[in-house]
Amino acid sequence: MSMDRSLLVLAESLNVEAKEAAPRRRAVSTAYYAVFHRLARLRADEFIGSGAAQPRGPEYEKVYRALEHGGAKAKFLNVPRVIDAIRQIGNRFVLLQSKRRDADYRSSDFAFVEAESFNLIDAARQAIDLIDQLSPQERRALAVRLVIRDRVS
Amino acid sequence: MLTKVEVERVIEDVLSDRLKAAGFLKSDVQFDTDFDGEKIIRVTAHVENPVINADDLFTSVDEIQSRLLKSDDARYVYLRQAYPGSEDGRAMRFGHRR
Repeated sequence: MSMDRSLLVLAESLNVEAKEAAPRRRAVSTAYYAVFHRLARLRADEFIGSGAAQPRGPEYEKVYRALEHGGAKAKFLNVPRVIDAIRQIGNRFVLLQSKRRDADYRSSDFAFVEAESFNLIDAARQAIDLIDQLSPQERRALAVRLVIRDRVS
Repeated sequence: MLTKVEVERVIEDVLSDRLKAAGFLKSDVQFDTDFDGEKIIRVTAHVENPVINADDLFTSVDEIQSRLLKSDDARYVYLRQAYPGSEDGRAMRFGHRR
């Protein structure tokens, strides 16, 4: 199973029986990382190739590892409005990234209510499914978007 | 960028249709900034019954944002639901879908 799908399963298992704030917060954070890893994989697969050989080599690792949280968010903020599927992925990714900050850094006074943590994990699943369903052209467009530096005019 | 009244009109229009089955009651709309200082719109959808299928929530966000974009308003929409008992631990048990 891929890292993103494994993290999604882990998020669900952390959340499903969570009675206290900490496991629910870890579940939301893990759900965000599931999407983050899916984006990293998409980018490395598109640029280096998704061959079955394991390990895939240092170039693959370098491209995979180069995705940054803030950089990825910024790329989604500027998606051309015509690419609906990528905007929909961005809607879920940006929301999850914000909630990951809450989950990881806020004081013990903060907790997710049950409905929110379940909904956020579902949002992560939707984002990953949307990425999986992208056409080859859309996958390439998203991968390029996650790499290029936008021109500042 | 749209005014709060204009944004509220779009949100009410979308949510009253998409969350009808959950018994949509009203929405609270707040203009805010996120952790990076980006302008965002926080929305709480008040419903009679929990929205179990999060597709309904997030496709609502997609539609709201699509309609805002037509007016050149590119702010992200952060939507959450609130229903009786959702804030005090009396919530029903959700289950993950596979």
